[in-house]
Amino acid sequence: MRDALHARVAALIDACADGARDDVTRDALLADLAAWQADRVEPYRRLVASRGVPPDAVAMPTDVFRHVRVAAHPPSEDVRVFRTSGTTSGARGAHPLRDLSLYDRAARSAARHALFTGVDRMHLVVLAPSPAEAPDSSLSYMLGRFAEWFGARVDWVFPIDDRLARALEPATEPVALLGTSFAFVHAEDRLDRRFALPPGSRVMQTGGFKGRSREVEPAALRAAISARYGVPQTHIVAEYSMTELSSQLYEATLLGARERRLWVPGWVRATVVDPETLAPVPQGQTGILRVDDPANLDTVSAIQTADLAIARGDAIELLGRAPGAAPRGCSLAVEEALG
Amino acid sequence: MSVESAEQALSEALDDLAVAGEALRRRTPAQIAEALADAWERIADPERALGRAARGRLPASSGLTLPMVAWALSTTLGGARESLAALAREMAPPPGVIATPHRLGALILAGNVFTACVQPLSVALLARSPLLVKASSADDVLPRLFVDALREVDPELAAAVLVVSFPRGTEALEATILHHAAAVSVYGSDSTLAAIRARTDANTTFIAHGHGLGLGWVDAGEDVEEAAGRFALDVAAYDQRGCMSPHAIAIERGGEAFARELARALERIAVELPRGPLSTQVGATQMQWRGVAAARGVLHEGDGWAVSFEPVAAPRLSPGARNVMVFEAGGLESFAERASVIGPHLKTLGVAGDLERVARVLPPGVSPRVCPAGTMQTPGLLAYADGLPAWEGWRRFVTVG
Repeated sequence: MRDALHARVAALIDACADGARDDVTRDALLADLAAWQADRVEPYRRLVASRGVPPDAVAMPTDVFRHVRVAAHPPSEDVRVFRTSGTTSGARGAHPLRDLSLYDRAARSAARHALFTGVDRMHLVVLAPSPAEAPDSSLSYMLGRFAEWFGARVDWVFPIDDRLARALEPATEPVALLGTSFAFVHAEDRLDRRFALPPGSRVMQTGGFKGRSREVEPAALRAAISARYGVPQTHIVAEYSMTELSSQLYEATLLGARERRLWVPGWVRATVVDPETLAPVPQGQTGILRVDDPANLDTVSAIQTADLAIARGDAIELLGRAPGAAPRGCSLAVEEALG
Repeated sequence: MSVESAEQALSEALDDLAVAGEALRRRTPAQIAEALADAWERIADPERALGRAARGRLPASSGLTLPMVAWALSTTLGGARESLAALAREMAPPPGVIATPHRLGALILAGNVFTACVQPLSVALLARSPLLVKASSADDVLPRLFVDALREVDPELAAAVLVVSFPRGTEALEATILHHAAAVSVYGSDSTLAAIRARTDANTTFIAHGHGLGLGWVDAGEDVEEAAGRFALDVAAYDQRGCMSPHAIAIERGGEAFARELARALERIAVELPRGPLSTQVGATQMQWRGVAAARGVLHEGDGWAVSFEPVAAPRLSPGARNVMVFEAGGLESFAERASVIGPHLKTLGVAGDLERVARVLPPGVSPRVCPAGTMQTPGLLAYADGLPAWEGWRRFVTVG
């Protein structure tokens, strides 16, 4: 059964390359995946039983990954465990993977379409730890794969230091500058010069700040990055991913979109739901983002995030993460103490 | 109005306020207590204009339902006359010393529980300090109604209280307040407290009321149905957003049965005291909280409440909004050990059982109000706050000889 599902997921990802969609096939696959996972992933089974609705109506909240193991296979079969950064609360979320082939397929297909649009290979400058330095970081893993798939030359620059200027200085061919938001802020704080990267250069920024740097509004950070590296804002692309997912969403500005909204790959279903009823909210209304990612074969495909979002057609307008679980009057310090 | 002119106007108002403090100093604490009681009673009484105004405006400003607002007003202000008289007696100076008030006090409110202003406001005035109250613009209804009520009772006294609201981060105006005040009482997050403390003069009395939470404890052998009924009120009160609200309730054994009873009790109480509307943000964290509960334990949920029973020995923070965890702590000593991790953040410990026994096992550094289940959110005006008398910092004495 798993092998058959694996083959169907792989086929769907391949069929949706280049931005194609097949929602009927996707939805049928997601329903089958949910049923299969509800049989095998104990916390998901419990959650589905608690809700009393069909499995594909139930999404696993990301917080669950911080408290219990979420997997259809035993730890002995893990080939990799990605972990959340854990800087804003005590326990770290864990996403155990039995194989990385679907992750790779999804990451490659989405990035090829929305980030490395129109290029084969290019010079990558990565403002993040390498996979060897951060083996449990899904971001580092993905960037490491990007280096293999899309890199003509790769410079890993983390922490941010003089190597960044040395990597960018001689650029005569387009550069892809890839990193976390806080890494770009660190670079802003450190660099005292500007660059004029060759036309076709692009920037991918991902993630929040999580207390690792001063916080900068997205528009202000984009403007700063554009001015610093000489890259037009259309070529600055936000990537949305999370440790608990295997697929990524990208802003579609490189594909010609005028609004800064997330393009949802055809194999992924993104739904904005009401936080209390968990039912989809109408287009244009704020809710929380649910992502059904079939590449999450061996955990749970239906992931309920705490990110506030608005559905706009097939795209998603991301509003940011809801504040932490502590209510007014209670502290993060307490949460950390409790674990 | 520019920031500079707002600063100037505030500065002048604070000077006037300090002068108006003379009216307080001319009155005895007992007289002030009477006037305060008259004022609070005007708000407590739903038949009076100010009582109607409170019930008309507080649901929107607080986000609580009208029944919840009415419950909060009646439990906080009911019996205020006796409590204020007792408070005035408690605050009296010991023999041989003379009480002297602060020239000007400031009370900076957090806005999570709208009645949180009642005790500090009363205490400051009983200490005969004129008072500047800074409340968020979304949550200044009760202090403003109080000043209106006091104006009806004793206009001179009312002139010794000023309520202001301005957006967070208006540092120039905050600095003006901190510059004028001789005592500053601050409610809010630990980071808010730290920021204000850093800008407060070294000789200014700083009274901190930081982050906190409540927990519950059920002794073995207690009637779980009765205990659940009482704790349900603690959870439902103020929609569990206060720093006294229980996030989790520990029981020596029989947690699953207690969780079921608590769920039934919350279902019942939601009829009389329904929960207010849920913001998207709180809804998002509630969804995560409930998901964890269902995935690793047993989740009972209903219209505006949820109870989890989770097979772990440690409490988990609730998002509020009537989501409470039940767990088996493995004995009182083990529970106390968990409480020690929370330290001074543990503000209230509700107990179904032997209060004295529970209070005595608490480790150093933990000084909650240990109270019967069902009274966590109704501490009364004489209750200690953060392990200290509520008037701590508001009294100053001149010693003679």
